[in-house]
Amino acid sequence: MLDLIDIHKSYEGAQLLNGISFSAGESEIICLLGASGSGKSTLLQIIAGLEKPDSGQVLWEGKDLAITPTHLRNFGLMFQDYALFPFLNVAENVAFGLKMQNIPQAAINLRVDEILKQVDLQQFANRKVTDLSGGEQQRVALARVLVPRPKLLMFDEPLGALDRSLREDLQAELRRILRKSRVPVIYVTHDQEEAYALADRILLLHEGQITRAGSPEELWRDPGSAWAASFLGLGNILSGQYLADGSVQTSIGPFRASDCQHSHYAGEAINILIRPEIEQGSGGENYLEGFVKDVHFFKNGYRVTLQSDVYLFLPYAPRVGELLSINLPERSVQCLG
Amino acid sequence: MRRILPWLGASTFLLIFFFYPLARILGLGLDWSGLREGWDQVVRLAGSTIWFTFYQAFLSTLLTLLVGLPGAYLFAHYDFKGKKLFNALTAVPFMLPTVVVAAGFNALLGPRGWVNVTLMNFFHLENAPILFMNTLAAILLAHVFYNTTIVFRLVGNAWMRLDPHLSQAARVMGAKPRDVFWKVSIPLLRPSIMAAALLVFLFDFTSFGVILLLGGPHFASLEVEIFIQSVQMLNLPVAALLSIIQLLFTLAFSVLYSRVVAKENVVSKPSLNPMRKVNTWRSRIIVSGMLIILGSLFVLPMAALPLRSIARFDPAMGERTVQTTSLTLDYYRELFINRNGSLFYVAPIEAVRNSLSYAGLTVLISLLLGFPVASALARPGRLERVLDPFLMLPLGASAVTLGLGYIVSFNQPPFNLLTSPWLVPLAHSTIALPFVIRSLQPALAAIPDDYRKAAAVLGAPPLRAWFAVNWPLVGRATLAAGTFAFTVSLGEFGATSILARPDNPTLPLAIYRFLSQPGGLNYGQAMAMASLLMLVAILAILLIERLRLPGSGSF
Repeated sequence: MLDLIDIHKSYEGAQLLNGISFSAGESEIICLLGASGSGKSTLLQIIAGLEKPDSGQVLWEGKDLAITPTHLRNFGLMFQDYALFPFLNVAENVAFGLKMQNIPQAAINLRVDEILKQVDLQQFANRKVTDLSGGEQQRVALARVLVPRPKLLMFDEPLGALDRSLREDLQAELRRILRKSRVPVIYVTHDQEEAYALADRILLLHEGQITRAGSPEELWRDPGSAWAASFLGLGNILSGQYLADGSVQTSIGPFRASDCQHSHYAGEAINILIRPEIEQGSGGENYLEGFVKDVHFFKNGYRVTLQSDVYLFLPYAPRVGELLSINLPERSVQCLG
Repeated sequence: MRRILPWLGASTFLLIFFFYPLARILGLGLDWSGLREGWDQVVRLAGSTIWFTFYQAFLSTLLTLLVGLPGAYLFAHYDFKGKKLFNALTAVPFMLPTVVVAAGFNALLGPRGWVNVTLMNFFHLENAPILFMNTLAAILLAHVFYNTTIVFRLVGNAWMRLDPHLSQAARVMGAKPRDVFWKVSIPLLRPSIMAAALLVFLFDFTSFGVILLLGGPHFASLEVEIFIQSVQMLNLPVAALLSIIQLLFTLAFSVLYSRVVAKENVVSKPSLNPMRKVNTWRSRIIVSGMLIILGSLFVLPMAALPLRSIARFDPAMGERTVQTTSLTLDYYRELFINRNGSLFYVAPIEAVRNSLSYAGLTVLISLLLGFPVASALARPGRLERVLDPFLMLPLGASAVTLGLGYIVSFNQPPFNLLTSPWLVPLAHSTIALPFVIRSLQPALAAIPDDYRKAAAVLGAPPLRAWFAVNWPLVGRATLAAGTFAFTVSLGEFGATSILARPDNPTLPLAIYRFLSQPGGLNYGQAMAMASLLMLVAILAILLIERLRLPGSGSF
C-alpha cells in the first residue's frame, strides 16, 4: 500500500537519510528502530508530507504523493509530545480532524463519544487538556489520531514521554488498538523492547540507511552487523581474525562461529557475537575461560562479568576472582557481517 | 526597622511628589462648587473628549496591529540579511521623545517637509499639495510609528516560540493552510495579541505629545484637554475632573492588561522554530515588500528630520514656485544667537543647557531613591510584596495629570515650588523612578548570594567583597538605569509643558514653540534642535539595549 523509493534527505549540509526504501502492507505494524538523531522522525514527516525529500518517491497504492499536500493525504501522525491544542478541551481536540472533513456535528459527537469510551476517557470530555496527566494526554492524542480513520497510522515515539511502568501497560493496549485498525502502521522508537513488543517487522535505521529488516525473531537471531548487535543489546561483540581452519582468533582465544558466510578468507578481520545466555548443560564446541570480575543479580539469575569484560547470564553465582570455564551453547557464537 | 530603611527615601518622595498631588486633584475634581460652567457643559465636554480619546485609540490600535502582525510574522519566520540591524532599529521609535517624532513627521510630510517641497517643485505648485499636519491621519500614523514595536516584540516572540508540532498535527488531520492559520496559530497567539493590543491601546489612550503636536487645535483627547483646561483656560476644576476620569480608565486598562498577561503563554516551547530562508520568488516578494513598508515607516521620518535640518529651500530667481535646495548649517548657528523678538529672552541653546541639567538632576535623584528600593526588591519579603505595586503606580498616571497636580499642590507654603528650578526635575524623577527600579531590580536579583559568601570565605572584607563581586554586574545595571532616567527626562513633554517657566524652557518645549511659529527660520531651528535631541536619544537607546541583561524581557 505504502511504498518508499530511495528517499534522500540532508539537513543543514549533513546527509540524514541516504536512500531509504521499504513497503508497508495492510494491517502491518512496522517499527522504525534507530538511535536518536538517526532521521526516524524526519522520515515520518516526509511520509506525512510535512517535509519534502531531496530525492526519492513516496507512493500510496502506486500513486506518487509528491504533489499531494499533507492535508489531503488522510494519514494520521501522533507526536511524542502529543501536540494537543491547549485552547481546546479533550472532546474538541479529538473532534478536530472530523471537523476538517466537514462532517456534520451530530455525527462528530457520536464518533467522539465512541472513541473516548474506547480509550476510557469519556468522563474527561470537557476537561482542559493541560489539566490531564501524561498518560491521559497520551490517550487523548491516540483517540485524536484514530478518530478520522486515517489510511495510514504513524507514531513518533508515542510512549517516550511516559515512565516505565505506564509504558508497559500502554504497550499492550496500543497493540490491541493498532491490530484492530487494520491499516498500515509505522511506529518510530529508539527502544528495542518496545519494537519487539509491537512490530510485525522491524527496520533498523543507521547512518541514513536501513541496515537490517525483519521480524523481531529474525533480527534477534541474526542482527547482521556489529552495530545492530550492539544497538539491540544482543551480547558481547569481539573483533578477530578469520583463520584458515574456519575458526576466528580473538583476544581471548579462538572461537568457532556459526552463520559465517563462506566467502571469508584467511586473515580477514571479522566481528563475532558471543551471546550471554547460558542454559544448564550446554553442549557446543566453544569454551570460554576467565577470572570473574563482577557478579550481580539479574532477572532470575546472575550477570557475571569476566576480566575480559565479556559478560554472561548464569543460573548460579560464582565468586569474584574465581576461574570459570564455561561450555558455550551451540550457535551462541555468531559471525557478524 | 532595618527592612523599612531602604524604602524610606522613595516612599517619602512618592508620598509628597506623587500621592499628595494626586490627592489634591481628587479633592479638586470632586469639589464641584468651584465649577464655572453648568453641568451640561462639563458633561458635553467630557463626553466628546472621552469619545474622541477612545475613537483615536481604537483606530490607532487597529492600524498598529495591521502593520505589526505581518511584521511579527516576518521576523518570527524568515531569516534575511540585515535582520539584526532592523531589529535594533525597531527598538528606537518606542523610546523616542514625542517632539522628535512630531518633528520627524513634520519634516517628512508637513507643509515645509520633503514630500511637499518635492511635489511642489516637480509640478510647479504654489501650495503644499498634501495636507498632513493637523489631521487625524497624522495622529494615527505617529501612533503606528510609536507602537508597532510592541506588537513586533510581544507577538513576534510568541510566534517564534509556537510549537511547530501543533500546526503539523493540524495539517496531518486535514487542515488546509488557511485552517491551520485561523484555527491553530491564531488561537495560540490570541493571548499575546490581546496583551499587545491592550498595551498599545493604553499608550494611545494616554498619548499627549503626538495629539497636541500633530493633531493641532481640532483634536483633543483627555490628556490634551486636561492640558488645555489647565494651561490655556486656567480652569483647574474641570481639568481635575477630566484627570480623574482619565485615571479611572487607565486603571481599568492596566488591570485588564495584567490579567491577560497572567494568562499568557501557558504552553510555549523554549525551542525556536527553524527560520525560513528567503530563496523563492514568493518569499522574496513578501519579505522585501514588508521590509519596504516597515522601513519607510520607521526610517523615513527619522531620516527626514536631520536632513531637513541642514537643507534650505529658496525661491529660484524669477520663478515663483520652483525652489532651489542648498545645504546649510545656519539653523544650528542660530541656536546660539539671542535675537531680539525671539521667542525667548535667551538664546535657544539655553534650552539645551536646561534640559541637560534637569536630566542630570533626574538621574541623580532617581538613582539615589531607586537603588535602595531595588536592592530590597531583589530579595523580596512581605513588606516588599505589599509596597511594590504602589511604587509602580506612577507608571499608570499620566504626565499631564502629574503636572497639574504639582500646580495645585505646590503653589503655597510650605511647598511653594512653582518658581523653583527643582520643580521640573522632581516631576521627571517621579516619572523615571519606576523605570529605574524596574531596570535595576533584575540585575540585583541576578546576583547570587553565594558570590558574596564565597568572597567572604576567601577573606574579603564586606565592602571590598561587594565591590569585587557585585560591582561589575551592578555597575552595568546602574549605567543602564541612569541612561533610562536621562532619556525619560530629556524627552519628557507632558508634565514639563505644564510646569516649565517660559524663560526656562526645556529642549522639547523649545521645539514645540518653534514648530508652532510661522517662518522658515523658526522651522529650521525646530528641525535642528529636534535632530540634536534625536541623536542623543538614539545613542542612549542603543546604550540601554547593549547593557540590557539577556532574557530580562522586552518591556
